[in-house]
Amino acid sequence: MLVLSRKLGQKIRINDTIVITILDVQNGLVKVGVDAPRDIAVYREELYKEIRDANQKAASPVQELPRFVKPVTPVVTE
Amino acid sequence: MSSSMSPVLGSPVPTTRFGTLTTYQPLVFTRPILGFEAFTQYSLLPDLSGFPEESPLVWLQSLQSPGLAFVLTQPHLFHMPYELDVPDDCLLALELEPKDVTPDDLQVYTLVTIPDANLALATTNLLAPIIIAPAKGTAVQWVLNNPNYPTKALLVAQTQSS
Repeated sequence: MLVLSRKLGQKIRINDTIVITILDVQNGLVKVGVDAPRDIAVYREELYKEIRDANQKAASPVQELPRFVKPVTPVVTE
Repeated sequence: MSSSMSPVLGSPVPTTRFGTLTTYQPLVFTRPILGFEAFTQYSLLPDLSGFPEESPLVWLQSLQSPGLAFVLTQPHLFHMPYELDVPDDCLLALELEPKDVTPDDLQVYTLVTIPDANLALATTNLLAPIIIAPAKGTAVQWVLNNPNYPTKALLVAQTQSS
């Protein structure tokens, strides 16, 4: 892993197109700005993992689904 | 389902659940299903488990891996309130021109997880829907910026409590 030290307001450039800026540092919280082309997906790591894990649990379920019909529209009582 | 989604003759694709597909509408994921970056080609297939009654579920079958399939639904079929603003970046990823897009150009599905094949435990991922542009044959998994939408919303409980 490449480790870089940056001060507030300094940037890191990745290739020609991705720029990461240190916007704020307070009480152990670092605010980071990411400028990247629109086709680059940027995720918080924990969110990426949550969705990847959810996808893996959803993948390739039972061979045949149990009988699952459209739920009946609930009766609304006035 | 629009006519653009009608199946077309393609190279035969083996699957473990549906036999060999010969007519299908291919979908190319231009933003991958996270964790499945190697698999970008799928087709939507109907779920016939409730036949002759209509199922609220559809299958998303990989065209590259015979055993890989996902179950999808549309949350409104379970009376779940679900609204999303599809950002321009998502439309561009779908190879659509944002200023020309109407809601009819998009289909929104969510992934369904069925633990232990028990439908009472089924959940759906409202945070990261599958958005499809049928006319383009493109699809994305798009991660929403909405903390109100969980990755595990109970499907059946919603139908009972709504």
